[in-house]
Amino acid sequence: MILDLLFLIFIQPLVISIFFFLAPVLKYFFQNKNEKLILNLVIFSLITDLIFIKPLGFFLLITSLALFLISLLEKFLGTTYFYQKLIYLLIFNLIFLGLFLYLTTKQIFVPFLLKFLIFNIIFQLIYLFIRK
Amino acid sequence: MLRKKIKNIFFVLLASLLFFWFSQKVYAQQEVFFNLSLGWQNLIKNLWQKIFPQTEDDAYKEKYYELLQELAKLKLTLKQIKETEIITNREKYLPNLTEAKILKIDPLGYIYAENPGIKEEAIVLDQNWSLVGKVVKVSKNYLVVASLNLPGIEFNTANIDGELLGLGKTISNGFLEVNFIDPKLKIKINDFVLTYGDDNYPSGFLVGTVNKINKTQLGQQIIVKLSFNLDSGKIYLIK
Repeated sequence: MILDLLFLIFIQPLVISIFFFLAPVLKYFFQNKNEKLILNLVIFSLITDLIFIKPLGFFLLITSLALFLISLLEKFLGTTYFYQKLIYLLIFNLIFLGLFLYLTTKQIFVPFLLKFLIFNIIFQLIYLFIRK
Repeated sequence: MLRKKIKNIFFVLLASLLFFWFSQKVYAQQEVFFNLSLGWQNLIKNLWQKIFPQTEDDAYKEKYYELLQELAKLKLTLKQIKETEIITNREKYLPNLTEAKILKIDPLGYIYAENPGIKEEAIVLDQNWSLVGKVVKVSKNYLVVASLNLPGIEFNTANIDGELLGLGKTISNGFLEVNFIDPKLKIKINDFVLTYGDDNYPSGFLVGTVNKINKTQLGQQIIVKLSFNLDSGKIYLIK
């Protein structure tokens, strides 16, 4: 968590197309570690609010909504295999980025969405692969 | 286990809804937070620049690029340059111009800058007098500019002769799209595009140059490359 925190504080302001805090949150989501998931979600999303200059609670709201929707999906689909995780990541990022773009610019602009989606999914896959 | 996870996340979702609503009500508190955050981010940016300074090679590349740009400008006829100066209203706006340091550039196209005492809706230009955007939010210590990189901004455009081209719409990544242009109008690649009328922006500001021309059944469509450049780290605001 400390490493993630340092990464978020020192690297996130320089890299603005990837939301770093989503990767550890998703890691704990897939590992079913509920307490760590909630702790990371609350602390990291509030720091991200400050980095992206959003009203406090903005990222907590959209992340928890996207997480809630994919956790409902978990009732019907497992998270064991790589392709299953990829489906989760796709749906999660689509909901998250759709909400982020809509609430920020009042429109969902497809080229932006695609660019953000590709960058974020690649980063999340690398993170989940390295920090199993 | 799964039920517990769903329950926990649902609880956080409800709490975050309340927190988000409450945080927007107590706006004055956030100003201090965000100002501290912008200061911190600026510090990190400067720190990284100090750790990884520009190498001599990079400096030469930059100088070469600048010389190329100068050469390209020299290729323009003197008449064109004179016309641009007249149209961009330098003399009219020069006494009201104020400089501001950029603190942060958002991925979507919002620019955060220091507030030199400017009001909302102020026009923002770059060092070459190209239109950057408009101030959308003013805070005590910083201001937010909606730049033309933000998608979906609409305004009328004109050519160098002041003739209306049509309604332009920004399409992000530094480009603007103008549809349904009169087919009789002669447009060439690299022609200047300026603002027209006084709808969203005052008339006569340089927006960019024509990058691509598409002939359609309903007229012409042009893609304009926006000409503003924020590499200097400064923006210029019209009071």
